[in-house]
Amino acid sequence: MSAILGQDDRRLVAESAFDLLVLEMVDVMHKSPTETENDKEAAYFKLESLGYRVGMAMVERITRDRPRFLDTLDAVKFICKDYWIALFKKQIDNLKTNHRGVYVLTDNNFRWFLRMSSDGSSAEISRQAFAYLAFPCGLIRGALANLGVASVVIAEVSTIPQCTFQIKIAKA
Amino acid sequence: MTIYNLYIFDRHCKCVSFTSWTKPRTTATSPESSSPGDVTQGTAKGAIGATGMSLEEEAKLVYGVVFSLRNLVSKLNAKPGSEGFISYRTNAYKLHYFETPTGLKFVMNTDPHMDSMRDALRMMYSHIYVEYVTKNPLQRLDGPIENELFRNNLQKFVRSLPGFE
Repeated sequence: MSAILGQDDRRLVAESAFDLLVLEMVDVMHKSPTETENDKEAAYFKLESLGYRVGMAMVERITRDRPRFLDTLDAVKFICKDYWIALFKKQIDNLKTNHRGVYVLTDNNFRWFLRMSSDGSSAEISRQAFAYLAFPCGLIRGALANLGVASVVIAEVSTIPQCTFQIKIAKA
Repeated sequence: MTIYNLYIFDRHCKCVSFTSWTKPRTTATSPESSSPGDVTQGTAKGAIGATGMSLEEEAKLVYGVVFSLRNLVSKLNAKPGSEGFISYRTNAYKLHYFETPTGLKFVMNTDPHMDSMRDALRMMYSHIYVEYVTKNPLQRLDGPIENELFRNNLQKFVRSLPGFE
């Protein structure tokens, strides 16, 4: 996904291939013979678990040469900067915390939403776009889990291309 | 030197997008000159095409012309690997044609003194269509293109072309 990770420049994947794979992944998960609420939740859960596993592996690679993290805030800041840059080529635009285990990450120009557009109403588009946030939620949760922080991540989208991720750290 | 309109046809011979930069000529008493800011767009059933016919009829006509000319040219041309039908010119307009390997057809009408728009059409395909239609998960492929980002970028691009009035 990014040239800064590997030393070998010849083994890169085309970015378009990755973008299209992500689109199809969400579509495939959401196709089911019955359109019940349960199916949507099941699909969301599957995508989030996929993201979890990928996030764990990604964070192993990226933190290879870094020193250990001082505390949870440091880990979350790492996710906002290096991790997000490696995944989406930009940083998180805004990080808010209540210093009691809740962090809110805001991305004003989420990369996967850049080309999403349709003639439906804004609420309709936000609803459809929400399905694409399951995988990034898993990515964050997996990264934190492998850094030793158990958490729950919830995503929200009000107007594309802006979206927020709310991280709740589990009490030790 | 102006651009009149643009049709996009998909593999299944359906018109997925029509953008016009002139007023449709309905009756003889309507004003002759078109205002630069006047654009009509759409693929809706009741839409009017550039000549005042319904859009569906007009799209079928245009597609028929282009299809027949393309076959004619390819049969007459014995050299393999040449591009085939690119454009034709009458005393009223010039029609530019660009086809992608996936069967997508771009047809653009401009005034007769325009240079080749082939590169512009190719740019339109690779930077606007591929970006905002193929990579858009909310846009159904093989259906009419109903997409704000696509329309806006197409407008911006065409207005920035050197031939636009």
